[in-house]
Amino acid sequence: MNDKKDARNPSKLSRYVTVVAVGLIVGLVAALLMKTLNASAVSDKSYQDLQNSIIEYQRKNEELNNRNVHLYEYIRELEEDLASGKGGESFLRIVEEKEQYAIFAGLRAVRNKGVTITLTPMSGYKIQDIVIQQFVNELSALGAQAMSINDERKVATTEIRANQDSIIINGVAYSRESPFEIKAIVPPAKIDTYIVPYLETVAGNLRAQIGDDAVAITVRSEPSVTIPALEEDRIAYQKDLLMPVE
Amino acid sequence: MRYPMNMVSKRWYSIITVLLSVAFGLFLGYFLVQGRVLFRAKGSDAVAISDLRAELAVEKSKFEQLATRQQELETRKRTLLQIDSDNPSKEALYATWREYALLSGMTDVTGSGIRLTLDDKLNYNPVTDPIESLIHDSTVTYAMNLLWAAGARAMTLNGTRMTAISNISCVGPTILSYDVRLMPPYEIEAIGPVDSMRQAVESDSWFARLRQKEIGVRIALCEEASLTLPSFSKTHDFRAYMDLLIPVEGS
Repeated sequence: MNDKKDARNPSKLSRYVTVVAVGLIVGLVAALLMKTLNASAVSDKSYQDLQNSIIEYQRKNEELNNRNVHLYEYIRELEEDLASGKGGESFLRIVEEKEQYAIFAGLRAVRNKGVTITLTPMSGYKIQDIVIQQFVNELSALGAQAMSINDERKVATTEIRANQDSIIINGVAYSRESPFEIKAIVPPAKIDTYIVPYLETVAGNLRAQIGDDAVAITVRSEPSVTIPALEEDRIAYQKDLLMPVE
Repeated sequence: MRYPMNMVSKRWYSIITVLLSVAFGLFLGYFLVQGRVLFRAKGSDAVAISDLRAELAVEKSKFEQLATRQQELETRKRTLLQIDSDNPSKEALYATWREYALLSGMTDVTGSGIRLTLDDKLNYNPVTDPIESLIHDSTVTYAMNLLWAAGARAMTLNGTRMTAISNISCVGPTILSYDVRLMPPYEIEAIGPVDSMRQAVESDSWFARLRQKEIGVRIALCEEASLTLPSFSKTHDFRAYMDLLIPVEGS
């Protein structure tokens, strides 16, 4: 009886050892796999993020440095003119800056190479404001520096919204059944290689969404496009609720 | 079928032994990984990350210094221009200069307005949640167009003043505005007629859809009796955004 028990014990022991070993290996492998994945993912992400942040800060610093040099020069001229009682260089600089503000605000007509997008509704179709907004947003993202929709200059406060049968731009109503022409001055080097093909893709996607027979969209590269100035009687010119901070 | 008592307890012993072994294996694995991470901390990856962090700190510090210097120079310039504008022969010139600076977003402005905050769905899951649960460039430009249409006079997006060229696009999971990467939440501050702007946001059907539980975009709106929006010049050089424009004579 005892011999039988002794003979059984070694196999029982080895069975326990095997079970414990397998359990250990399973736990070990699971822990190693999980941690290795997490550690490498986090490391790669933080490395990339850090590189991006550094590039972004370097670019900002370069830009700030240039602005400070420009400002310093401006102040030096102002101080010299104020000290001498004359209005030479600083006067010209103020006139120049005033004109630059006017151009940046959209208060001057401007020209250069660009693109024209024409949206022509087919009979009975009314153009949606979102179609015009999409092209305007795409052009902004493509680096457009000046834009107009039906010769209404797009400025900071320009709204593009549908109101029954019209689309309101700068407070002026345009029939949704008439063609809309969007003009933009964009980086010339990219016009034929990237901007026009990209806008044609956008046009294709829009046609697929709203239907081929709803609106005809043409995108043209223009050797010279003129964007008119914002007219002073437009609602977008309002500044009554703004108080400049001295 | 009934098992003898000692057989049941043996089976439990076996189960507990297996579970304990797995748990012990997990602990052992965890400590091994920790050891390896500590070992690797002395390795090239960790050194590179540490170097990048140091470089970033230097660039940030340089940025702070340059920004402070820029503020000082801007203040000095304004003071000198103020003195110079007392000259009667230049009064008209300065009046126009101020008007154009205001219209182009090159002046800090103050007034009553609203703050609209747009944020992605909490715990967004790309597998189960719709794409609208994230804030896209189109969501931001839609909100801005809505506010301009409601009469907004000046606006900022995460502290950057919007100008005639509201340069907003999507780059991966972030939004790029005037070449600066922005992360959610996106905060739009707008000066203008408060009631009209609030009503425009609250009654908009697209925003109502985004707020629905299955989309879950977080939209918060608060009214501000006095908002101050910074000039565009505080964050960017405006000349970089108009270098392609040739003025038409006589316009």
